Amino acid sequence: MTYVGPINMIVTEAVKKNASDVFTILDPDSGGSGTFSVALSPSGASNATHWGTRTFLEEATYTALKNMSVTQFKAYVDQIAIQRGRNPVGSVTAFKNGVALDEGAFWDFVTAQGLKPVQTSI
Amino acid sequence: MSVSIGEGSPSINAVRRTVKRSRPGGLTMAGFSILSIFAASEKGIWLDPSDLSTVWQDSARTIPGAVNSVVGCLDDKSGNGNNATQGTTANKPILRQSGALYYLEFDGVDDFLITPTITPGINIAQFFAGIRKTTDVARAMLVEFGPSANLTATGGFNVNAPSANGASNFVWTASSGSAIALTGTPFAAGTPYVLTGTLNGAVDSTVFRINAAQVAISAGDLGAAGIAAKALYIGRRDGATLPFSGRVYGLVARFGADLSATQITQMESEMNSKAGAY
Repeated sequence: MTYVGPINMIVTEAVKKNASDVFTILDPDSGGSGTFSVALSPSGASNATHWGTRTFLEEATYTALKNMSVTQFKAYVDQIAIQRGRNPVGSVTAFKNGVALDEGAFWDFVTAQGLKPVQTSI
Repeated sequence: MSVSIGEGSPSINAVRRTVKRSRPGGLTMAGFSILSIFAASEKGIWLDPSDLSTVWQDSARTIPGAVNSVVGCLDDKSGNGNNATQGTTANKPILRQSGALYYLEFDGVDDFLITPTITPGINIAQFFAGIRKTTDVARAMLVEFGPSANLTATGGFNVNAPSANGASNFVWTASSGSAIALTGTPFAAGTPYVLTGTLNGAVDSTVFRINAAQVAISAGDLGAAGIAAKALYIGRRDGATLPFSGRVYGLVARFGADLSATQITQMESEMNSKAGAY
């Protein structure tokens, strides 16, 4: 299996659920629902408005994310779901249209998006 | 773009020390084995990324580990079966090799490993690690026993690396119901260190050592609650915040009676043979 990356991705809070559903299928391991785990917001204060991740991706997945239409991407995700015996996701539209992709330094990407890490209060 | 190769190489002296001290099976020239400190069925964990037979790319342990690949499971060599796992690919550290040294590379974003719940059964603990911080820019949690919310009240320990944004330090925090925090400073990012932290809630003793030298000690009250059963988080607090950016060459956490000074020195030598710190 060929991986590329690391790849940075950021989605909004509204898109996080759909993004997690998609990565439950796309992650070769069992924990794809936890992919978007970095809490972000414009001020760094709770609650998170965005969620980020820095991850290696299967080459085919990265190509699909970058180049496919929503319809093509849905077919790709459905195909992976069948291969891995996982439940298909109803729609990929929110995630595919909403994800911001980057190949540089993660925190620079966060800053460029006008975001900061949500600070722990502990 | 592909998975990249690791940074830098260890010094020649570090490699020489590794060759001199390391023997197959973890034996040193003196015949010491890390396994010996778990001989009385002490609870804990021993992680050794240089033993590739213990490294797996997936959390289910079906794909053997490989240099420059993600790590989904690192087997516990203590005999306790407390394998450190990560089932989310985005959160997996990378196994790297630099010369004769092997390490887990944590990205300072979302990488972490977690063990099953460990039941100490005693209010005495020791922690050893060979590590290297990549940066001191942001506060980070190298390890933490248990979720942070009840660390003080229910006992445990953590290592901040560093303890605040821009601080060139490490902080060992220990608790058996009341927390004591010991700071080692200055210890800047970019160089390997061997960290040793001990806590004994029975006699209120907390010690922090870096590179085989004591940097702080306290006889302050550690509390009487003991240390509750928890999981060990490696690389990120609660798997959610304070991501550690850097390398872990080896790590041991043990819940058991105090080790002798000789045993502590031997453990530090073992960690140093993996990290090339001093």
